[in-house]
Amino acid sequence: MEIKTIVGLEIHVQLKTKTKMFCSCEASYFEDKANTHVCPVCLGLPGALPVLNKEALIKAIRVGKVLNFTINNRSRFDRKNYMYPDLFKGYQITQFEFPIDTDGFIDLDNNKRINIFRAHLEEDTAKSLHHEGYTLLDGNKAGIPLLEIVSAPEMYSSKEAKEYAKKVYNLVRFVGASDCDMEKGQMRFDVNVNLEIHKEGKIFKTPIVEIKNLNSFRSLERSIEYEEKRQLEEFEKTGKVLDRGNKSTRGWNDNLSKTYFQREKEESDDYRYFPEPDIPPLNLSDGFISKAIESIDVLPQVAQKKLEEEYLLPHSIVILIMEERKYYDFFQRITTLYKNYINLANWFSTDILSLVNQYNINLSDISTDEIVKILTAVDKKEITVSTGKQILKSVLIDKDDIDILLEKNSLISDQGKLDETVKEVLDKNPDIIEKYLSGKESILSFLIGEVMKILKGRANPLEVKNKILDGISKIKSN
Amino acid sequence: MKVSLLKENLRSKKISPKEILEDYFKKAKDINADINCFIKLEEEYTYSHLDFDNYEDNLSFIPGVIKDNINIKNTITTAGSQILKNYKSPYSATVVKKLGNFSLIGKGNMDAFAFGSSTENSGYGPTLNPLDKNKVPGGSSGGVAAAVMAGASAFGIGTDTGGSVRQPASFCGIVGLKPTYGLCSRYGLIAMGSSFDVPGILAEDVLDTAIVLNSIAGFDIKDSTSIKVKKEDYTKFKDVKNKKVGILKFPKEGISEDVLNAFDETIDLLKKSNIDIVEIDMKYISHSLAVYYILVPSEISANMARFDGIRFGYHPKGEFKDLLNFYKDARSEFEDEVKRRIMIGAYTLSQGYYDAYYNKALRVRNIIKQEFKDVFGKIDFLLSPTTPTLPFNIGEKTKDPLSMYLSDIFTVPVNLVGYPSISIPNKKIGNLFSGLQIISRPFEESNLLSFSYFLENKLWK
Ligand SMILES: [Zn+2]
Repeated sequence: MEIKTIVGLEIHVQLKTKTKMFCSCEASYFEDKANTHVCPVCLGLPGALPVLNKEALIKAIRVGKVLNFTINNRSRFDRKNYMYPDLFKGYQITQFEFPIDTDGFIDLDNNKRINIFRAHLEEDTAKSLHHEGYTLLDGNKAGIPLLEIVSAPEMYSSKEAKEYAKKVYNLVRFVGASDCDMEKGQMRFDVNVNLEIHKEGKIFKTPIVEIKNLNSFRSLERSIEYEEKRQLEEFEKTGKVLDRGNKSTRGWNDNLSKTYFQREKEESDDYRYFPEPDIPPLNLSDGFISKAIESIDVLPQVAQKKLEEEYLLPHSIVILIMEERKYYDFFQRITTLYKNYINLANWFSTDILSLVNQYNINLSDISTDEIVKILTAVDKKEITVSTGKQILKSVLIDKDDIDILLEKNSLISDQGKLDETVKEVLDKNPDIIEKYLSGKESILSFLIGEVMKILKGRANPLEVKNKILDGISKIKSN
Repeated sequence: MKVSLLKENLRSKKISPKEILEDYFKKAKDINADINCFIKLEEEYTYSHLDFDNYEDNLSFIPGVIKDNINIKNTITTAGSQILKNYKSPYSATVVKKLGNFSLIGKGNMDAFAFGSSTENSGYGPTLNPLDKNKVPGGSSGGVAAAVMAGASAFGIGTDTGGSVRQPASFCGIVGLKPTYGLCSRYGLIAMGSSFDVPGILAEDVLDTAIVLNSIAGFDIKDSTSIKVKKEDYTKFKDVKNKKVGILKFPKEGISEDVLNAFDETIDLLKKSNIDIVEIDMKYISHSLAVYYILVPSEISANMARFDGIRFGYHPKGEFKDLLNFYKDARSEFEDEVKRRIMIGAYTLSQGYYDAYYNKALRVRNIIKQEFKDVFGKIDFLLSPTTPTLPFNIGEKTKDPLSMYLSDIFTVPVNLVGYPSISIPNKKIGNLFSGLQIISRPFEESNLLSFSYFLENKLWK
């Protein structure tokens, strides 16, 4: 028996715009008082009309570009009719028949191509706050622009699904189309998953399950893994296979790490779509589309190529830098003054990033000058690497003066002083030398430490080590 | 009193704004008691909102009646339905804003949500025709038309989806203009058929209509279907003697003798005036009503979904076992015609029926559009009666929605194609009038009004 998991993903992204999709209410509402970002349009009051937000259109085009979509000159809005309290107009304005972006793709790291059917614009619903016996509605979220990105069912494991999602996440953020903050609901996943079971020369497909509203990569991965197990067990127990009308919707319980049944889908829901009469069909000029694309200052494809081919960075660091637009911008900023790219990449991916994350430092606040001074001093062996790291920390966290720190910590250039100190330590520790000579080589670090202590760290440990070895060999030959 | 005359009297200080208000509110109360043309008189609102120093607006202090499906901030806006009887709107429609410092006399009675042609479907009782109280005033802007005819207001703003301004204007013997779709903003009009609705003007004569159009025409950024056009002064009537006039050929059955005779006399009058006339036979126009009664209910079924009893209007009280039961209660308050159209629309849009109904109707709509385009390549104006009959009796057609729908047979095609058209009184027959409909090319309101003014003078002076 061979089992293949089949996953398709619908990713909802709240586009980052100043105003809502169809009105001029401010779109950024996180933690604001309920129903303070509302107007007749997004409340769906009688007589109010939608006006399309151009910025949302531009962001949808940017995403279209980086996910390799065909960006259509002609697209259209439709009404999707269903009644639910969080849908104020009783219909959602969406793009059903003619979406803005069609036929895109993403290549996974192993070069497997995942096709993406479409990305269409629509409006978000209000937020329901359920209480015992009653429900409250908050309209702040109603009418926030959404881009729904619908993949082909071409991911064959939870890992692939996660990689695909992560790539979409990175690209969408890179071009500034959304912050994709999942805790704020700016990116949500609906997963379609079922199994293809090859058994005794036949292929059985289990009923498709849609898991709705996942809001982390972890839950995305784990819910698929849970379904793989659950669907196989169900198949073995009941033999139930995919049929018209036995699709079901399940929710994800993060605490129990389980999906749970929500509802069976009859045939398919009838949303009675028809063209939105309040918004004329879009007929975007080539000029408008190319201007929207040009508004992406750096294309992720171009950025990645630069890191790989111009800076020759190792793949793992390229991936890391491409994760965040601000990483790339920081990196770019330093490279204007500092050309040892690989060294910079190493510092960045370890020390700088860990300080930034630990102390919540804004990358754009870090001075190019300070970083370049530290790295150059290390390169010129004016300070040791570990001193460099300490200085980095002092500069970033305590805001200490870089020049004073460098001056105070620079290595002693006086060779006489160094030789003198080594001699002093060797003279004081004949017993240690004895132990070293009798084979306990690790004790050498004690001697290095003693020298460094006297010199307050202002010496290159390797140089100290060599001088100590020289001294010992002199003693030995005497 | 006519708008033009009131403006003149205000300018010459023959009359003061306060006198206008006193005079009109007194008349309006009596008239309303008689024919129920207002859902609400707005005396208190108007005294407190009017700017008594602002004489500058085109319609400063001129008494107007606004159909009650057009939002006015801080007033109850019912759309003629009981479901909104306590709904105070938090914003004003663009057309209301554009009217400026006019005197709001009251909210015009109407068929609930504008679904109807007689104002008998109002949730606030029918309006009677001031010309003959046994007759309907037409609809759905019947309250507005009756108020203007009876002298309770100098002008009125209605809405026209399939004839709802022109038909009541015809029934009440006044002028009714349906502007081109896109010339006047729909923002704030409680939607019926969104791709058909336009705000329209009801007034005593063509000049008054042009004066009001000067106020309400123009692009609105809040309405994506509104169009940017050059600003015009519609009261500057042009010479129209060289224009070519088409006379619509239509089957005579179902058209009353009175209407036919009046129409024929007008054609003779045009011929005598040396106007170039040609008979126009339109092949597809007869499908208009069928197309209309598929597409409009489809749009209605979505437009009415927001009336869910949750955020505004009628709110069900008590405990409900689930959402469905809550909705059932909330939406049981709709008037019968509203329910009928929602059901038809939901049906024509359903899976399996969409292509047979909605999609096919859309295609026929496009064919009719093309036919209009072809016809108006040859002529400048197209004439027909406004309605097939004179006003019918109250209660005569309420049991028979289909025959009610037929009263819009001449007006509906125009909404399908979005062209402008006007109804002017054609002939007085007893106490009643028959109306003449004139259609012109899109955004040629200036020509349309000029020709109407010319005909008005020929017919009535
Ligand atoms: Zn809003």
